[in-house]
Amino acid sequence: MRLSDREVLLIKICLITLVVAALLWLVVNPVRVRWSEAGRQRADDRRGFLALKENVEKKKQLDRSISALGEKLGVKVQTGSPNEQRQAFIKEVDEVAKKNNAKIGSFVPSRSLSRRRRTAGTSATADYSISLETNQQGLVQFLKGLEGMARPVVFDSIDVKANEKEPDKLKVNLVLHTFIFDGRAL
Amino acid sequence: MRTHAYIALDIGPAGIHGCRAVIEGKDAVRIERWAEGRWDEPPGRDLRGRTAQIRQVLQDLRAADEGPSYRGVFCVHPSWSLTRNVDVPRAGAREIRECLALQVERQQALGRGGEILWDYAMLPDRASSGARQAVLVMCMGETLRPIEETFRDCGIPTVLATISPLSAYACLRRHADFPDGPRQVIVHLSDDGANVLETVDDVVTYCSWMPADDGGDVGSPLDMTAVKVSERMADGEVRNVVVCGTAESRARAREHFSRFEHVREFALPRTPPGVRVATGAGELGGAAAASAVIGLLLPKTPALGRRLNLIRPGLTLPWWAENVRFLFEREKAIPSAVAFVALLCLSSIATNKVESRLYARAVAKSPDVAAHVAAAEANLKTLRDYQRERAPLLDILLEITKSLPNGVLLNKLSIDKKGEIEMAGKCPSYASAEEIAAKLNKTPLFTKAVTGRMGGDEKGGVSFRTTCSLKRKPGSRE
Repeated sequence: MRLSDREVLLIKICLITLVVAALLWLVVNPVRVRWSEAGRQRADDRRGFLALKENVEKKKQLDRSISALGEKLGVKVQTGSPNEQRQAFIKEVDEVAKKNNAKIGSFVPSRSLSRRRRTAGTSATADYSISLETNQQGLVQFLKGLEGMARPVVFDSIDVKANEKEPDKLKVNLVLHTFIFDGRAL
Repeated sequence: MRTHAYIALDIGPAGIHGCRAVIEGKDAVRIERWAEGRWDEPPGRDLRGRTAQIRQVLQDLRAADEGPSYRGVFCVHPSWSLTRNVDVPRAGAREIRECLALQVERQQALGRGGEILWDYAMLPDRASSGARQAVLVMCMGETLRPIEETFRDCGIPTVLATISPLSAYACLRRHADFPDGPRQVIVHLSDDGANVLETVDDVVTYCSWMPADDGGDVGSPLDMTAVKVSERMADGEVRNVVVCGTAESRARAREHFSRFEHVREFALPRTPPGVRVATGAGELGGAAAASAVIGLLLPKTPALGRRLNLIRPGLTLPWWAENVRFLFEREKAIPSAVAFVALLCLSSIATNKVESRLYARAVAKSPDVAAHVAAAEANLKTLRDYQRERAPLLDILLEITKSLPNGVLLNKLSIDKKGEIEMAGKCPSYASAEEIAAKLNKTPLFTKAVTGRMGGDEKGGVSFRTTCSLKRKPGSRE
C-alpha cells in the first residue's frame, strides 16, 4: 500500500504536533509545579505575615488604651515577675512608712497570688496585712502615700484604735491587695 | 555595538542596482557586495510579472552569506512616481493626512483606480506667506507591491521605500565639499534625464523629473530643465544652481546653464565619507547609480524634513523600535512568544519566592508579638478591674472626720471588707452622739448610720458606738 503525498503530510503534521506537545509538556510541567509551589508557599507566608501585622496593630492599640487608662488612674504597668513586683511593692510601702513616721509593727504578705482572684477571667492580686502605730497626721499621710503609689492598691479593710495610755497614738490594722501585672509586656 | 544588515535596491527603467551593506553604528556603513541586473526589455511602471530580475539581484546579494537576517530598503525611479507641492491647512498631522488622502483619491480616479501608495513631508514655514505646504509623493501599488513581495519571497522584510532623487540627495549632502547654500536649485544629471531639486536649509522643498528624449539626446531636455530652473529662481530668493553629474554630462549642460549667475558644478564621487566598500564587493555601473543606493542606507541624513516612506506612510520607527522589530518577524514570532511567556513564568516564580522570603523573615524576627499582645490584653483587664474595685480610703476617713461634731473623740474605727464601718469614742452629750449618725447619713459615701450603746461616764462625757455602711463597698465589682 502506497500513501499519497497528502496522507504523508498529514501524518508528518500529526507526529510533529505530538512531539512538540510532548516537549512542551516536559518543559512546561516542571515550571507549572514550581510555580504553584512558590505560589502556595507565598500564600502561607503572607497569611503568617498578615497575622503578625494584625497583632502589631492590636498591640499598638492596646498600648494606647493602657497608657490612657493608666494615666487616668495614676497607675503604671509594672514589669517583672509577680515575685519581683511584690518585693518592689513591699519596699515602696516601707519607704512611705518611714517617710511619714509610721512604725510598721508587722507586714504579712500572702505567700502566693490570691486564690480568690486567680479564678479564670479575673486578674491576679497579692494580699497584704499591715499593722502600724502612728498619730492621726501620720496615718493620713501614710494612706495618701499608698494611694499615690504608681501601683494599683485596693484597701480591703482598716481598723484604727486609739492607745488608751497615749491618746495621740493610733494602732492601725490595714488589709489591702495589689494587682499583679503580666510583666512580659514591653 | 549592534549592527544591522541591509539589502538596498535602486530600481528604474534602466535596470536594478543594489548592494548588501552593514550599518555599523551611527554613521558608519560597510558595503559588502554590489550587484546589478538588466531588464530583458525596459518595463513601464507596472512591475507585475517583471520580478524575476529583481529576485535574481536579491539572490546574487544574498548568495555569499546566508547567515544574518536582512532588512530590505529600496527606491524607485522618479518617472514611476508623482511628486507635488500641495497646500495644506494649519492643522494637526491627522487632519493633514485626511486632507491629503482626499487629494490622492482624486489622483486614484485618474490613475485607473489602482492602489496608490503615498507619503508626505511638511515643508518649512515661509515667513512671506501664511500658507503651509507639503511635498506629496505618490506611487502606484503596481510598482511597489511586486517589489515588496519579491523581497518577502526571499525572506527579507522591507522597511523603507522611497524615490531615487531623494535618496541620491541624501548621499550627495554627505560630502563635505558639496556646495552649500541656504536656498539653491540642484540639477542631478543622469543618462535618462535630470532631477531638479530645490532645497531650503538642506531640506528638499521641490522635486521634478525631466526625462531625456527616446534617442538619448539630452539637449532638448536640458533646455526644458533650464526653463524649470528659471521658474524656481523667478522669485529672486534662489541664487545658486548646483549641477551634479559625470564630467561628460556636466560639460553638455554647461552651455544651457550659462545664463545663470551662480552655477557651481559637483562631480559625483563613488562613496561619501563614512561609507567604505569591502574588498571583493564587486563593481557597480556608475557613481550616479551608487549614490541612490547608498542614500538609502544613511538614515541620519533624510532628504526631507523626515524620512519619507511609501510602504509605511507616516511611520518612521525610532531606533529602539527598529532594534526590537526582529521579534515580530514571522519566523521569530513563536520563539519570541515562548521566550516571553517563559520569562513571565520565571519572573513570577522568582517574585513569589522573594516575597515569601521577606514575609518569613519578618515573621521570624517577631515571634513574641502574639505573647506581647496577650500580656497587654491581660494588663488592660487588670487596669479595668482596678478601676472597678478601687475605693478612696483616704476620702472615707476625711469624710468621717468632717462628719463628727465638735468635741467628739474617736477611740476606735474599723472598716471591714464588706464596707461595714464601726466607730466608738466619747462625745460631750447624748445629742452630739445622735448627731454623728444623722450627719453620716447625709454624706454621699455612707448609709444606714446608727448610734447605739450610749452611756455617761464619771467625767460628764458620753461614750458611744456608731455603725454605718459604705454605699459602695471596697473591692466590690459594680
